[in-house]
Amino acid sequence: MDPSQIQLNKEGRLKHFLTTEGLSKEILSEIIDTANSFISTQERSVKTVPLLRGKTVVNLFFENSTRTRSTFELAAKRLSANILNLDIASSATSKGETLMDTLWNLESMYSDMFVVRHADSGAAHFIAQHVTPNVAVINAGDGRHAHPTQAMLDMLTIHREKSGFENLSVAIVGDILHSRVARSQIYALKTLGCHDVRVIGPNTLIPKDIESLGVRAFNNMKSGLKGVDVVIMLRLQKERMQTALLPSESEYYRLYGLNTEKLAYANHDAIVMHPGPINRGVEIESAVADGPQSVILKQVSNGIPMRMAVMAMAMGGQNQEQALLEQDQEGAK
Amino acid sequence: MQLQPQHKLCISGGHVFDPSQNLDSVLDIYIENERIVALGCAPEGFVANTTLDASGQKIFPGFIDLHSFLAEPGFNQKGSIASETQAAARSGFTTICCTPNTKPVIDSSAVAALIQEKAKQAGHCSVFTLGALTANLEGEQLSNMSGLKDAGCVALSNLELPFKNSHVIKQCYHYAAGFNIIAMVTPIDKALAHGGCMHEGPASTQMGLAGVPISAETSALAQHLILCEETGVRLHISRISSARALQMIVQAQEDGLPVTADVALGNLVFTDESCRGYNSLMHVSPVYRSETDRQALLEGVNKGQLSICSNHLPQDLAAKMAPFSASEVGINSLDNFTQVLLSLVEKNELTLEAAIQAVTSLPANVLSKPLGSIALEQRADLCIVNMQQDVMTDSQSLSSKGRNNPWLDKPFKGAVTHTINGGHIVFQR
Repeated sequence: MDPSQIQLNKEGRLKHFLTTEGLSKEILSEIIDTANSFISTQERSVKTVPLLRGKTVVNLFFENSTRTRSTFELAAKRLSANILNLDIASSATSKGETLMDTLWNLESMYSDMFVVRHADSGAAHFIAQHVTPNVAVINAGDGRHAHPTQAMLDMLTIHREKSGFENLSVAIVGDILHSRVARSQIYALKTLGCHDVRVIGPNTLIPKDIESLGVRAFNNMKSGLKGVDVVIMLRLQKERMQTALLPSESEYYRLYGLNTEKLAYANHDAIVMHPGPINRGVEIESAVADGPQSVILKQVSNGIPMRMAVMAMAMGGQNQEQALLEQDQEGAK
Repeated sequence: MQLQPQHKLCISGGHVFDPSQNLDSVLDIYIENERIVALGCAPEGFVANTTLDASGQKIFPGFIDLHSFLAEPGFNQKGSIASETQAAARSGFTTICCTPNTKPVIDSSAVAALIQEKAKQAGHCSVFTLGALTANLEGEQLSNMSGLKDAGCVALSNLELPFKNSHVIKQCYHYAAGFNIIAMVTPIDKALAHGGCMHEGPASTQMGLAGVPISAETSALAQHLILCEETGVRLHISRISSARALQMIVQAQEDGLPVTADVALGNLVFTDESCRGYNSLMHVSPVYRSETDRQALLEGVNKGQLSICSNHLPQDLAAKMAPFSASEVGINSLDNFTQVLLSLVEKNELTLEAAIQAVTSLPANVLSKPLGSIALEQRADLCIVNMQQDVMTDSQSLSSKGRNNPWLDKPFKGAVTHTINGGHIVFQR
């Protein structure tokens, strides 16, 4: 099955949000526009809208993540949904219950949406394939595969700072190999029309055949950052030092840590992004992280309207599909 | 005193096809008890007590599988000797080699004897046991190799499991060479595989799944070939996956090393691209590699350099109901092996001659057994196929307990109509 098709209902509307791969430019733009419209609601004193009233959203986190889970929780609440947080990492699966058992249990509670984070690539696809048809699945990060809401909030941020995508040069720096954020960003950028996407890092952190995603790979910052408009720094997990991927934190910082000097290789109005949480002094210098070109905090505030947008769109797509199915059944009678 | 009545079978009108004997014509086959006693004309005084009309059908030697997991003893939820050998017979296999990774492991003559006894009781297919090359397959101590050979193990294998170090490999081969034991191995360097679950390439990168580089196979293979050269062990490389590995094996053969090899059927059909969509049925070991590798392996079969094994590994439903990397490996490839093999012939990817010899005379040569051909005085192991018959397998019609079959509900042309093992019809459709 084409992995992108599972996300769309019969009318071609989003009903799950699992990956940015394979979605059309129209859908990605619609996500950005919808999120943009929610930004204004966030500035009002009453921040809630009734789009998910009466719906139950389950935050299904098989991997711990306070930040991402909180933004989904807040987004769901601002859409007037009921929200249930399940920290599976420390409960069911550790008692031997399989993923399918957990899902069937949750389905019997009549949930309408699962927000899923899981350590296995493809877990969100798996869940979307096996849940009852009326449940929408939002991928909040699966293994190394995808983190589409993070990528789209980054697209929203770029869109607001730079307006278009066509003439931009974007560099993603660091641990591309393990990064679900980078993969989702690359697909989104390419679909939105960005012609020049680069990845920068040592060979050990760049996966094989990365060019198949339509990007260019660089081993050094000077050539990689030359003339770019957007610099996206990735978080470097400290445990990577122990697995023969990198010699040391200091060598990594010397080569790839973003400081004022290296940032000067990029265009003078380049923006600096980071999905967070940042490791100051490992991948980025404080002067840059807190400097005038940094939009890192704007990314954080764009997180809630973006998650509201995809939740509202996926729920709308599910409702539409259910209505169509009911019509078909009526017709059959 | 009256003599036991003789079993006399005549198979008439079939098109006998056996490349190893240059047979490619319509011939009657006369069988007495378990042996072929005449081809073409009936021996004098032969009166068949059973006649089988095979007009319009092809008759091949019974197929031989070098690698099937039968799940018994120890894994009843996955399969049993009876269910899995029945699946084999359905596909025209008359002999299968069962892998030693049972529970307990086939590292004692008692386990080998138990399996052979159960297979005989089931009566679907001859089963040869592959014994463990190291004790409990742990890669540390030599198994009781000579004892296992005496207990009927046709070869000793460590599968793709790691050895503690290269010295253990060398000692295994050195010891085995002294007793004329065939050693089998599936070369995978665990450190280089690094927890990967599919071929390392564009698809793994795009799907965010950890990839197994080709070097995980080839660097381990280089080591096994070097140690084969040094010890002189008769070595069979089981289930290769890459073009480069094939090239190395062919080179080793040209250099005079006593090395043979096979490829799993699935690796001739699927590639890493088949994993898209996280289809857990494509989670296998060894992994499905690139189209270039698949083409090279097909060419290897066409040149007679590789046998084809089933790499049958039945799993229950739950084992595959998990995200790709968390699902268990393997497919049920016995139930529809022959249809899939013949589909490669139909697509002109394999010649019929190469496809048949890769599952008959070549594996017989690997095992040095007088099997896999249709000839006088040979054991009457035969597979009769209606090449034009449409077949489709659904989950209800599987013989194997393995529900992990990637070919369900797909139409194929070419159905095994009869499997004859030792002169007896053990399967008919």
